[in-house]
Amino acid sequence: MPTVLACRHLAYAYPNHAGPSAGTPLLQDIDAVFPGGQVVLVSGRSGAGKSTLLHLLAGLLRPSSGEIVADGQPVSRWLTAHRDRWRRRAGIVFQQDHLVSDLTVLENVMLPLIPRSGGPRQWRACGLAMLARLDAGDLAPQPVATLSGGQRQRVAAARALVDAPDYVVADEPTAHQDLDNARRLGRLLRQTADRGAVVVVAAHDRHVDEWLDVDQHLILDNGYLQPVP
Amino acid sequence: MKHNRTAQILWAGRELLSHPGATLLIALSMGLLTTMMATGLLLSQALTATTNRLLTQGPDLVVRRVTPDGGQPLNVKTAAAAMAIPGIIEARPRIWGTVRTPQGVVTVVAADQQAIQRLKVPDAIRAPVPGEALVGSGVTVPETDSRLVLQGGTAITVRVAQRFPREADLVTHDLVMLHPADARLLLGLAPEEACDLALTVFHADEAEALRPELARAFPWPVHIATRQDTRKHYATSFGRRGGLAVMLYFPAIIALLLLVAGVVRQQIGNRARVGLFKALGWTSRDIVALQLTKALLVGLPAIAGGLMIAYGLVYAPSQQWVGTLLLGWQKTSPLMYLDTGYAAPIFLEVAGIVLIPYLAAVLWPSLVQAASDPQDLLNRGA
Amino acid sequence: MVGAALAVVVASLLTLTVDALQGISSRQNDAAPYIRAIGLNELALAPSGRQARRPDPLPTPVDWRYLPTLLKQDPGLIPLLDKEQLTPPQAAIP
Repeated sequence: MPTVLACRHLAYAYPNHAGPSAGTPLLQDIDAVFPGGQVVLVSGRSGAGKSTLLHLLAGLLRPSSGEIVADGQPVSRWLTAHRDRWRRRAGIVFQQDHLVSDLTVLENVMLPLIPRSGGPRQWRACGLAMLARLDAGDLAPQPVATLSGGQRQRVAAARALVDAPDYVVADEPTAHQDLDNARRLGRLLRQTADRGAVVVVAAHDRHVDEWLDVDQHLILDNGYLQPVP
Repeated sequence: MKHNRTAQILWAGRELLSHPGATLLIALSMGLLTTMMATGLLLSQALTATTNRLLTQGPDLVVRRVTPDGGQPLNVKTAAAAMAIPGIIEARPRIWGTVRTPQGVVTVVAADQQAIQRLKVPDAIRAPVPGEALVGSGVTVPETDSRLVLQGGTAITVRVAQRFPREADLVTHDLVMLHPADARLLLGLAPEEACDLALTVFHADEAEALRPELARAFPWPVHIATRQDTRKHYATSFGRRGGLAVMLYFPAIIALLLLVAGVVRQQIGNRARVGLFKALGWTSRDIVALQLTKALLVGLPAIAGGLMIAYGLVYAPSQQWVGTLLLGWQKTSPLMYLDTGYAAPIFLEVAGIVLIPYLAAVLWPSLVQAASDPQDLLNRGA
Repeated sequence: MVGAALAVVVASLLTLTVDALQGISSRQNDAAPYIRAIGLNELALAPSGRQARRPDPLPTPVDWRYLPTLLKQDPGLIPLLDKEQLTPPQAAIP
């Protein structure tokens, strides 16, 4: 069965806390399907809710209403333990990369592999292979604190893709990259989609088509997700 | 999927090494707490066990003539009165007392016939002749002439001919054994006088029952002490010291609470890391297992090391701190060959007292965080 | 690090096992023949003359720590004795 990720009447509002945004709906009644084998671009202005949508798709958040359905299963309604297990099939590239500062580059990339089967040798081999595909192999032994912004993004991308996930969400993955490295990442995301995975990329970069081969383009505006005509 | 436990243990070790200072501090704290608690308990148990065992080798009953001023010497012929009582198999008149030397106070005892016979059992020990003394390792003697000045009723000078072996320190450390004639002269006793009678009974359990008969056997008031009375005295004495030692436990408990609070705070500060791990596919079970593994990697060796140190502090014969700090010895302290054995319940008790709160401090925040959504943790930890 | 931790734990478990089975010190009984020979029912845990040394509530049978002409006071702490000089008995001063 091909992988597919879908939103049904998805809505999200910030939790109750002090401030003008309290209770304000960020996403409203989103119905969308993200089929496996395709690269879907989600664009929109800053603050539109692109990151929140990606986090919902990756199961990091629960929606205020509606549901996320993965391969026919309402994963957003599952108990925490089941969602945790489903999240093993997902890879996420954060906008702020969220690298662990007290680990090396290679150890950061290995993190998704550690709770699975295998041992240090296999983890290292997979991590080094993925870093090499993103032209970051020589960064492997370095501490994270010494990396530039673009290098950090490449390491974060390697971490998200190291265990061949079925669902990939990438939030502004090339914000600090030069064109060559962006294209390299774009090719990798394309290859990931070609093997059947769901790939959703959020970017507000106007020149996305220079580095990413997009199958579907959606725009998030005023909380609603619309296809780009 | 089959988990590789060894690999995950190795990863837990790697995570600990990424914060070596904090890890070492927690380990040292736990080790020190464990040592403090275990030392007190082991020492108390060892002293009681050793005392009880050694006292079974001593007399079953001691009879002393008493007056309103205290004790008074008795006639050695009264030993016959004691021997006439059924159940008593030996009545040994004792000549002993406390006297001063230039270096401090010693206990003097006369070498009677029983001592002469029984001291032949250990090699190279012979009873002292007049003018000689057999002294314990804690009796200080000038190296030049080996002469010891003893100040009692009169002052006498004896030559130190032998020393008791150090293995017997718990009995002989500051003991001076003299020929009976020298002892009487020193202590101001007449030839037919003794300080008290040491009695051995056929059945040790009968000792208590013989008190009334013994009291009636002598023409003057007597004080009768059984071995049980002696044990109680030492138990009370240790108990008083133990009560002082218990005061040490208050800062130890406070230190444990501070350690627990510090660990809880550290765990709460790890929110963002837990959120990230969950986002990367770690389940709640994986996260809790990692935290538990890290806690055990730090806690178990720290506690084991602390227990080993406590064991060495209490049972190493060369240790002198017990005598110096707790029992009042100033210049030299007796070698403490304390009874080992039965340390296991104390080990388990102390390990539980230290480990359980620590594990709870690690696991409780982990369990709460593991049940949360990853983005919540990432946001709150930012 | 894991190896070192394991080594410490194993060493302590071994010590515990040996202790439970037969004890570590091979000289436990060396003091026993001496207490039997000497015949006293007190142990040299506390220094001579201390309250803790006495096995019964009565004073020591012969106690020449005191000058016989002075009131008897339990010296208790050895430092008090250390300060006293070794002098022959003197008559009481009214």
